[in-house]
Amino acid sequence: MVNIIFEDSFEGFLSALYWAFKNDIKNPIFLKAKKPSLFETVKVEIEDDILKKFKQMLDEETIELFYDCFCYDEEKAFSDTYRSFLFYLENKHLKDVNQDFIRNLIYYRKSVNRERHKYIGFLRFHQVDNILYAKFEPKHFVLDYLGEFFKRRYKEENFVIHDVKRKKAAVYHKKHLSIEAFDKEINIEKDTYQKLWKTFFEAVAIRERANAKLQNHYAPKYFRKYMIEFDN
Amino acid sequence: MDVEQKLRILADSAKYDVSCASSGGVRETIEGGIGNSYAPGVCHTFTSDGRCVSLLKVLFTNVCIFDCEYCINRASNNIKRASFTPRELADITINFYKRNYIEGLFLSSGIAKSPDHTMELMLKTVKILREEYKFNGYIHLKLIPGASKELIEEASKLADRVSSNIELPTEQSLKLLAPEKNKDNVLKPLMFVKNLRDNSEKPVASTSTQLIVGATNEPDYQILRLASYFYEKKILKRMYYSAYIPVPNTKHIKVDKTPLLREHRLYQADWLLRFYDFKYEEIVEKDSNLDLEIDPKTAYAIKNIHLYPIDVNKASYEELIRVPGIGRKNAMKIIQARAFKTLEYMDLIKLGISIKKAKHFIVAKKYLGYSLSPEYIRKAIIKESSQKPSYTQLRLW
Repeated sequence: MVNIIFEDSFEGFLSALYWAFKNDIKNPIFLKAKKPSLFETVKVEIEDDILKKFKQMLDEETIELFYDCFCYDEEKAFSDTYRSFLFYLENKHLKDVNQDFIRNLIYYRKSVNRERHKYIGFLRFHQVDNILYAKFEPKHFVLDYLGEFFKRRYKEENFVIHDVKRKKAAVYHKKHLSIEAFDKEINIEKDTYQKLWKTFFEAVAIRERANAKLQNHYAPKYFRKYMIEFDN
Repeated sequence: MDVEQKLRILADSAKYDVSCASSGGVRETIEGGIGNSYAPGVCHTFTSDGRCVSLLKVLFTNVCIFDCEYCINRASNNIKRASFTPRELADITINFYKRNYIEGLFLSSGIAKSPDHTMELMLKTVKILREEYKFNGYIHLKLIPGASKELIEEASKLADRVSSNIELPTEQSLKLLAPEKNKDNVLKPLMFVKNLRDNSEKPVASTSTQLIVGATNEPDYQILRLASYFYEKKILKRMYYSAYIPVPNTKHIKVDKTPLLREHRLYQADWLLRFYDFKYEEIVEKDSNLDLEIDPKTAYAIKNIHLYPIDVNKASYEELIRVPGIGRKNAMKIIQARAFKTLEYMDLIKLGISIKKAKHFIVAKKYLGYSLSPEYIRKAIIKESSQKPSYTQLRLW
């Protein structure tokens, strides 16, 4: 067993996959940061033109799938990606859904996509000094996706989407989007529209049909922390 | 009256319009503007009754000169009345949108003064949004029965969706409960918009309608026949069904509330019409209602048990999607997986396919059920599904 530490970026992840393949490592464990371990630990640097190399080895769809698994942000997703990578090199496809690790990849992608989609709706922005500011604590790395989404939607605005857990933010300023390290405490003041939104939220519910179970199913409690219509 | 009070009243009176879809839009943000519509649709929150909130759904006014018996806002009902101004409503919409509370606006209205007067106020609101704020998010506009063609045409160009509620499945019922409405003023606008769409190169709003279920005694057969006519002729993109909720002091409506389950079954059947290539005659018997105990696809399979079991390793996509419990995605998964091996019971489980219902109707190397007796299957399925008590409108994601 070998622990492979990679830099926290998609290129870093691909470099680690590639290094493990080249050195014929069996069952490696991929990590973003060092952990105490009995096994040998190797730190892999980003290789030049790694994305280009992968584009020569894999088709576009598979690279996108690997990207989503990178966003899943758990060790098991990284090692399943590695096994799929080896399978692809041998078989030139990932269509055999009877293989556990391929099915797992599809599952990771689904979870990541679900969270991306949920936050498109559940993210709440606040007007702070002419900047729209939103914070949240997603399970997976979905910041890049949300940044791109809101860049299209709020083209003329400036916004900051703050991933509190990862201490990163998608910052859109003067029509330029970037993902940056971000660890500031932003003071949010209540405004009229927050109050109006709460009023609306309560008025549209049909009380005769109250169904908390169903509400929890679609808007699970862990999403609600920053959704201002819920009392936390 | 302040804006907050107005919002409370006008959101409360709009909530019985069940549609909240924001899907299917294709608008992009324009230079200097805000907002786009995102094809899959987005839920921004869920109400305490478990429904998706996607749009700011309000009435422009709940003042109404019509006196429709099933409607809480009817002229003779003694309730608090309120009206927005176009500016107030446009400002709430744009500020909610900026904070990511909503995908856009769903604007309906009671009829104040006249249909044209009301429609004009609604259009004024939408024009502030589209022209002044350059807002390109989603807008759903209700077409006011009796509004002039010019206004309807304008609405269908500004909105992503327009709708006109036909309310009741037959003209007799409509006459009885909504004396000011008739087939012409609720249905014609939809036909008119369809024609505009067929003959226009620019985008024209899609159309939908809503029907109250259970206030009058038309059976599901009649309702689904109507739906299927609209879909076949491409007059409507969607039909919404709303189980009747009692309003005070009704003269002709004798029923208590309609069970939500009936509404749920209609949505399931509607899904089969639109996405599973079923004909209405296949899923509902003449002049009767859908089975409340089992879903329409299961009811179909039990009734046609001679067509089953089907072999998952050989069946076509069309056959697979007619198996209760196997949807379009699962049918695709099966087809993909069987290219590499002959599928068995465990393979289906691994693919994440629920075989609770499907097992009675399929062979995966061997027959997975116990008996092909329709009575047995019916009992077994009812027993297994009796632990799930909540019914809601089907959604796309």
